[in-house]
Amino acid sequence: MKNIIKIKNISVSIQNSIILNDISLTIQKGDFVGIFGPNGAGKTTLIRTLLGLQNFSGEINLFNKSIDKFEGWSKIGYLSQKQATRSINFPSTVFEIVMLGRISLLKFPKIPSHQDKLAVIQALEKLKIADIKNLSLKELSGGQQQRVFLAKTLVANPEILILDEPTNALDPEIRKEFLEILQSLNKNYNITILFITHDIHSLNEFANKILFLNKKLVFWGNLLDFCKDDSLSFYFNESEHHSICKQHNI
Amino acid sequence: MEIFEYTFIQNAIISGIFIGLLTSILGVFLVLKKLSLIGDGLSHLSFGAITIGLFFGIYPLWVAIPIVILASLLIQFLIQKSFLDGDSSIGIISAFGISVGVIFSSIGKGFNIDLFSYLFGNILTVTKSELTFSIILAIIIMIVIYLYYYDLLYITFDIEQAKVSGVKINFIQSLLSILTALTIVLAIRMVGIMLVSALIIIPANTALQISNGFRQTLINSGIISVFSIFLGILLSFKFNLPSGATIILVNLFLFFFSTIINRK
Repeated sequence: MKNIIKIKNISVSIQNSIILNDISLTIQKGDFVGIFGPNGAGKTTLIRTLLGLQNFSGEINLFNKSIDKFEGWSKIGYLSQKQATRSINFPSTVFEIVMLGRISLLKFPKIPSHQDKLAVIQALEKLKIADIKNLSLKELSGGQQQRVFLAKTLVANPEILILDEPTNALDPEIRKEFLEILQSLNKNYNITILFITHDIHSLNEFANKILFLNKKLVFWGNLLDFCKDDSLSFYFNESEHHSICKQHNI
Repeated sequence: MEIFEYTFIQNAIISGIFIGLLTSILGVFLVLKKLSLIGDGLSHLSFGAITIGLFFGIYPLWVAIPIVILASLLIQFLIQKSFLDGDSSIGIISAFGISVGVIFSSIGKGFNIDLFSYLFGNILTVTKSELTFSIILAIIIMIVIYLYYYDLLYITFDIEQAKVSGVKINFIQSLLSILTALTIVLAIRMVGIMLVSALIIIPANTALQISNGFRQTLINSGIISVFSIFLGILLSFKFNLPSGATIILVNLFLFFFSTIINRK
């Protein structure tokens, strides 16, 4: 398996407060990583660090290149935690928003070609929202908005998809549907997925790797090892830990 | 129709079209970035710069252009480095401009009549050279907006995502700041220091109420602005009213009209 994200001894401090302490791990192509942890555990900070948005100490390699020399940002799609709430009243149509996802592929002057427009339509079709391409965001339901943002991240054909609690505001039914879309992208297109959530129950049936953070790395591995790890009972009450593992007959 | 035979009316309409397009298009970006009041702050700073120009006998806009560009970059820097939020940065620059303006206008008592024309503007007195200057600058600014349209749109939509997508944030933000500064200085001759921010804020907000899609919002904002300026010039000529204030009142009328339509 190809290593596409390699993190070695990274630490992050913000205003003298330690947010992440000495994290090391390697993520391989095709992994579906569920990132969990209590509020303030440093989940979003870890993602922001991987995206070059946060100062850190240590080493990060993306696609075998040190992050400070890495330029292939179009390979990474990012859907942020605040995207939906921040953008709800933005006057763009669905088509215009998804087109923004192609920006990382365009050279100056960044004027989209016929091929870019076609890619947008294909991304919309992939997520079954082509029929709403001329509507503005505020006319859409929460589930449709999330699909639009996902289409925007997919339109540049990323190899890694990073999603920061994108299903928080969704109904359980729509959340499941959204996760199934991600699962199909992971299985059918071999897209690596990093998915942050504070609710481990919502993701454990989709993720093949679990990253449990609490400022430091508490657990990193597959679900089987997660269930066998007794030290995690400190973070979960026992029945909760068991219910997660029971779902998979572990 | 004989009104259109006057050269000063022709100059006013032509420069009005160009400046109106600029303020309204940039206005959409600024309003959505929650920097609506930057027009106020920079125009107040222009007041200070113009008084310096008048005091030393230099063409005031030549003094205002570099000072306002520097100030707009400073505001951007303060926001970016999280030293201050947008409102506070703009407020401080604004207060500085007004203070300098008051001091210089108090020392140099002789130029208060000239100053009055910058404070309240008069598009009907735009000279041939000012007209040429505004057309050239307006064309340059529009070409720049066209070339960087998607970058500007992306930093307006979500600056963090734009950064992750490889948009050169610092460069594009600086570009937007410089374009805004130049546009404000140009627009001062038309509607004056007191009202220039209205040309940025009102057409953009009117267009946001009635448009579907970002491109359509830009186009509608431009149409609303040019129409208001055209009608404002005609009304101010016909009823002998101050042109700047008349243009803004037409803009406000359209804004309220669009609000009522939007509510229905």
